[in-house]
Amino acid sequence: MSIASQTSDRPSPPPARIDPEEVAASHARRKLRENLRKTILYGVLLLGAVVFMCPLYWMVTTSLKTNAEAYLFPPTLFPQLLQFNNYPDAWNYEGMQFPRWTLHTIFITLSVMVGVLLTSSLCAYGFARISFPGKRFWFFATLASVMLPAQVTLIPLYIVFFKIGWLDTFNPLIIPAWFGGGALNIFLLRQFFMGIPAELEDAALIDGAGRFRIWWSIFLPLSVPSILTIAIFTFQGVWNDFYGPLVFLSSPDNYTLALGMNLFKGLYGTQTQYLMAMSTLMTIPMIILFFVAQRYFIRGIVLTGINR
Amino acid sequence: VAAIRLRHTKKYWRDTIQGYLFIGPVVLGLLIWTFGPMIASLVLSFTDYPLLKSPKWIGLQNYIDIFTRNDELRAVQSLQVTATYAVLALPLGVVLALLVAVLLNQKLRGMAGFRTAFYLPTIIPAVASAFMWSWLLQPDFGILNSILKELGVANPPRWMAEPESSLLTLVLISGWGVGGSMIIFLAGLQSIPDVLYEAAKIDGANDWQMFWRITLPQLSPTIFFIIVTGMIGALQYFSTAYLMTGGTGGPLFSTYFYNLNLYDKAFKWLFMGLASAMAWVLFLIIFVLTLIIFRSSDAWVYYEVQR
Repeated sequence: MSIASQTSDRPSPPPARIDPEEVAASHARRKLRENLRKTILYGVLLLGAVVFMCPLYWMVTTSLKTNAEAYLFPPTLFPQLLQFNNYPDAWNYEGMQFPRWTLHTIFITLSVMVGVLLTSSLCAYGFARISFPGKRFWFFATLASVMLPAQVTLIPLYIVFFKIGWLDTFNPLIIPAWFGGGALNIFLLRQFFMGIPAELEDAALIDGAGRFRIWWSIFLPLSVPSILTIAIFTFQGVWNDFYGPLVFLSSPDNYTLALGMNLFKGLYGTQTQYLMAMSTLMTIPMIILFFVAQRYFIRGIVLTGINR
Repeated sequence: VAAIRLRHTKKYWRDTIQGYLFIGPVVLGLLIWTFGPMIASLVLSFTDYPLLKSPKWIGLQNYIDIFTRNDELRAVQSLQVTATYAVLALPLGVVLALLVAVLLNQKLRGMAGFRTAFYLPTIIPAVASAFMWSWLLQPDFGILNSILKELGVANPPRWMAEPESSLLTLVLISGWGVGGSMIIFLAGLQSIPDVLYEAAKIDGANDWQMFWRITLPQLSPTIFFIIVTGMIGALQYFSTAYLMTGGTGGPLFSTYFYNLNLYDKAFKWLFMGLASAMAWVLFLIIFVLTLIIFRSSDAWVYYEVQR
């Protein structure tokens, strides 16, 4: 899937009679046309990129204005004086608990990531490398579960969590991730595991290594790129999740960052500069992650075909 | 021979036990978090069950209510909102993503930068992007209307503040997130064999003909995939509408999506029976539509003959 494989300018079949002047003229015409095409293309792309990036620019610049300047008409395209103190001011806003909510979000994100990576790779190994009765059924069931809207299972689970006292705790957000870690992740890792040569495994089996040992010290180290891909998507999904926390968490003391920001907007919606500062802060880890691990992002989308 | 067979059965049993130990998490997970709750919610959907009381069997009443008591429950109305959104946002998403992907597939310097620019919006947290758009589209102080006024538009649209424009505004915002589908299209474009284009060029085809005769048919499995996943996603649309309207689905319920309604019924009013029935209606709609798209795919999805 490399881009370099596509070459648009293949030499056309040579003309029967070669007239140097005509060749030069046709070359010039073609070059002109090619340049025109490139210019138009660059123009369209540049316009599109600016349209796509402008909202983010506006979010960041608003976060660096005073409240009065944010509401100025006509608006200033760049802050008159950069208000960096908006960030600590928003972070420590009275009545809000952004540091605490951030810690909660980090804790939930990491707990889910560990669960997803461990259990999805265990299951993927079982599906890829061991033959046993019922395997096809369970694999199909795993994949089919993707189609089910979350709301179908959510209501009975909510009732059960209510009865056993798990509402307003992190358990409903973390524990389910430790049961296989998502069908698509299992699928992705299984595909990768199936490509690992059997000889490696056989040699280890003859040396007396158990399956568990093989999974841990052969399969996991060999599949680091796939594992990183899953880690990144899990991180992104949990960090950005709004619906799950909204359903299961109710008291502000237990909120995540996403819920906390929604609370802030409800109470102090006109403090736009602070809201934009917190939005920027929440976005920064995702941007850093994207630029550090860009190829795993792209790879994950291409392999699973899902933009999560 | 007996010894071999014994060893075989021994290995067979060992593999079976080990196999189930390895896939144990997902087997348990499916039973506890998927199959069990699925059956439970199907049963609950035939009951009247305010969470704090015990469930009472009422047969099909919840399903009848969903489709007949629109004045109180707004179920049909929210279904219409969701359907309208899906019908507008899905084609917009597919066409825009395809267009951008074709442009980004050209060989030019700086293409990596452009790709990043178009993909970046999809990694922004829903909360951040919803608040950002609320601010950009604020009808009186927002930057977009400020620009429109500077350009001489006397009465620019009031975006999310008016029922006439609010749903369309959400459709437009969804266009900002085409980056994900765009990347999938890009991968699809790059897997089309060059030979096809070269052969067409020799036959004298122009760019336009090559797009319709080669690119689109070759890309049809990708388009099919994007439509299926996009449809499922659009019918479950929730977060942005919730965040931008403070959970009300306003103004005047113009953005009261089905899932917003379901959320209210289940977790605000604790009508567990009714909400379960609503969830099953949604599931059935998704299931039937998926089936229809799959059935139709024979007519328009082009698969390479397996060699």
